[in-house]
Amino acid sequence: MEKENSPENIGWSGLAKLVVGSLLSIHLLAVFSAPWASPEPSSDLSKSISRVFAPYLQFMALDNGYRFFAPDPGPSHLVRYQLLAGKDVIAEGKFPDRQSHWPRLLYHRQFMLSEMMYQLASAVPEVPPGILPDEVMTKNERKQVILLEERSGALQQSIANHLLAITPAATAVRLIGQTHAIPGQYDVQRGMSLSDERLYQEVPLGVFTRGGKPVAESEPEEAPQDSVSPLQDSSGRTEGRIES
Amino acid sequence: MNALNVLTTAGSNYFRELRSAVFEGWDRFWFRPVDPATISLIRILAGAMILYTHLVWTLDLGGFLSADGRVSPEFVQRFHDPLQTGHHFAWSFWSYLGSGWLTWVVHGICLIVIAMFTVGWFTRVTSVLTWLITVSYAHRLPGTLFGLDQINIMLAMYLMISPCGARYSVDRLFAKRNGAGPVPPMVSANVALRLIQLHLCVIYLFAGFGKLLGASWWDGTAIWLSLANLEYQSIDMTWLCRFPRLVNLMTHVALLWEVSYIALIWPRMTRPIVLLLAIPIHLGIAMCLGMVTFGVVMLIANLAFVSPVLIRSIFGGEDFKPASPVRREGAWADCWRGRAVSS
Repeated sequence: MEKENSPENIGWSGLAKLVVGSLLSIHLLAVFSAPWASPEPSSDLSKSISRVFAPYLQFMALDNGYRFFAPDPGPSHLVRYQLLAGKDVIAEGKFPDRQSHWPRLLYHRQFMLSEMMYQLASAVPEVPPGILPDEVMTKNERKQVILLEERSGALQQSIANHLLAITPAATAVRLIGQTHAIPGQYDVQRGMSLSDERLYQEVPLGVFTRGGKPVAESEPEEAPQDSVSPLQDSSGRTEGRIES
Repeated sequence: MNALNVLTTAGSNYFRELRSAVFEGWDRFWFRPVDPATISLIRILAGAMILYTHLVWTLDLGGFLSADGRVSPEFVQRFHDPLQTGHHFAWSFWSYLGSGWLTWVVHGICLIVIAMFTVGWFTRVTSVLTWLITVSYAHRLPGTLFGLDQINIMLAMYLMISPCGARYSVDRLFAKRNGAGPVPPMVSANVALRLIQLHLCVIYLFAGFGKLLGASWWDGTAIWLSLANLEYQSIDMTWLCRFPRLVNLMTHVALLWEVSYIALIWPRMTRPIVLLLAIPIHLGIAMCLGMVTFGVVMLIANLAFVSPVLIRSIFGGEDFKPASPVRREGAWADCWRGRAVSS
């Protein structure tokens, strides 16, 4: 123990400083490159530097953009769900839900999930109606779009599977995306409530069965047919797609 | 000719001084030993936050971590490898664990390890394990994460390479019982603090720059948009709608503070102001936007800029007096006299 506390043990050798200094510089460049390159807009230079460090950043969970409340604090995105047995709604709920999700951190986890569902769905580029994807995209771009759709669909299916697992009586679940806009200061001054129903907009995400794919509904009032647009790729797979 | 000589000499002197300043400054910045009081306090607070973060998963462990949880392994795979290249580096020990009871056992062990780290017991080992645990949960649960997790991971990573169990720890208690002397200043404590400081600067820089792209941060309504978001709200601050100029001022101050943090946190004169402003800004996020954990963990990270002398004056800790004068480390003496970290 005395050896540990001796002054000789306090400073580092030149070689140690050189090695550690080099590693620190590389690490800090990696840390800087992640938010520099992502999210968009970002330069080709920043993206190429970040790509070099991508495996390191991903392994260390440092691939973050740190854009808290940026560029603008936007509306919230929530998910409403209806558990179905046949055509009957046997239960419904939403997430996040302050009444049932406690403590606040657990509520926030659910909130981040609903935000992620929106974020992933909106990351899929939309093809204007009446135009075939092949007309506006290269084969490679088309493949990437399908993969992005699959990623978004995987989260929706994952949520659906969970809801069905905790409600064994249900045979399907309908997911509905909700956007909750923020009223302006003058609207609130004039008496508008933050939960005014005019601030909510809903988008059906689809009806999901256990472990299966989203199914189109026959009755438009339950979920409009055009809300889930089966997009078929060359392998014959289908995935639900949000129409905004 | 004479003017050319003067210019050459001046240029040569300038570059000699610049080189010396850069090398000496680099050496002083990174490799000056400092008292591990600050990093040890950060261990306790960050450890407690990491423990709480993981404790909360317990309330719905199956709902998140089981195969039919909200975040399925299939989605995790697609999230980390969206283009299905067949490989990614988001390693998590949860990838190897499937069954229900095993999930609970491993989760329990993780909580014990983090608790041990928080109190500084076998800190050298538990600090590495705590980082592994924090990263593993984050990689297993994409989609549920937010700023809190990013800062938890950052702090766990830098604490892992620091002597964060040197003070205020069970390890220190045992060492003292075994006759250990006072805790010496350590280079690794400085390196870890510097890394936290620089990482924080990167975070605030990009958080601020990102906001510069948003119209609401320019027209002064961004704070309103945050406070009037019902899903975030924890205290009703909508009475501020009657004071739009005040909302503008709060928005501009918050943005200016974030953007200027990287420059104003370093000079001795401005550092206390920047740190004092961090308190209302982060406590505001904590209290008004329902993110107590995120607001508090940002304040914990900001502690990296607080001198260990101040920490020791509040929380105690014995002085270290070297057996013999240390000539080669002038800055070391500065640290001992109480000017540590501030540079």
